[in-house]
Amino acid sequence: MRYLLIALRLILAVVFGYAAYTKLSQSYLVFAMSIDSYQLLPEGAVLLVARWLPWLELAVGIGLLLPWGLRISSTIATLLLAAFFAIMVRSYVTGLGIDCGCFGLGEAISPGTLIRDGILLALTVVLTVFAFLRKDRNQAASESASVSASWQRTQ
Amino acid sequence: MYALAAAKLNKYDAVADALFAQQSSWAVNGKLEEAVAKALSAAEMQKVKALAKDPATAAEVDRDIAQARQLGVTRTPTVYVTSKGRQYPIPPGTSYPILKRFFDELLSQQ
Repeated sequence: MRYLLIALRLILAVVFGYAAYTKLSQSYLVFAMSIDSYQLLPEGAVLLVARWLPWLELAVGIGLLLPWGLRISSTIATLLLAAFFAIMVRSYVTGLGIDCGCFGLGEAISPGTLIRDGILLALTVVLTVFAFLRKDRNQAASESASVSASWQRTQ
Repeated sequence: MYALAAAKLNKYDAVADALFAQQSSWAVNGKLEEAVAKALSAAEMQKVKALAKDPATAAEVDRDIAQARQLGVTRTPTVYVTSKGRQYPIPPGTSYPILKRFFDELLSQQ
C-alpha cells in the first residue's frame, strides 16, 4: 500500500509538473487562446486563469511530493482534474472541435484525451481517499496508544 | 482540390469560404460541386472543373497533405502562425480580443 501511494504521488506530480512546464515555457497568451476556445469565460477571466493556473498546477505537483499536506494537495488535484474533465466532456459532446490545452497547443479533444484525463482523475481520487484514510488511521493509532497508556497508568 | 483550382482564377478565397460555410451539408450529401458552383459563374465553374482534373493540381494537393501530416494537422481549417522560427497552432474558436493580444505580443518581439 505504501509503495502504491508513493507511485501515485510520483506519477501525478510528474503530470502536473509537466502540464505546468508546457504552459510556463511560453507566453501565457498561448494558453489563454486554448482557454478562450472553450467559450466559457469572459476575456478578463481567461487572462487571469491563463496567468495563474499553470502556477497552481506547479504548486500541486510540488505539493504531491512533500512529506506533509498530502490531503490538501491531493484534494486540489482532484478538484482541478474533475473540473478539466467535466469541461472537456462538455466541449466534446457539444462538438466544439477544439484543443484540449492540457499540455500545450495542438492536441484536439478526442476519446483518447478524455480516457487519459478520466484515468488521471481516477488516480487522484484514489490518492485523496488514501491520504484521508492514512491520516485517520494514524490518528486512530495515536489515540489508541494514548488511551492504552492512560489505562495502564490507572492500574 | 477545387479551391486550389479556383486559385488559378484568383477565386481561392471565394471558393474556400463557400466550402467551409457549407461543409456540414456537402460532408453529408457529397455534393461538393454544388457548393463550389455557388461561389462561381458558370464559365468559371467549367474552368475550375477542368483545372481540378489537372495532375499539377493533384500534385499540389498531395504536397499540402504531406505538409499537414508533418505538422500533425487533424482538421480543417487549421491555422499556424510562425514567429522567429517557432510555430503556434491557433486553437479554433479563439476570440478576436485574445487573438489580437497574441499577435500584438508577437509583433512587439520582432
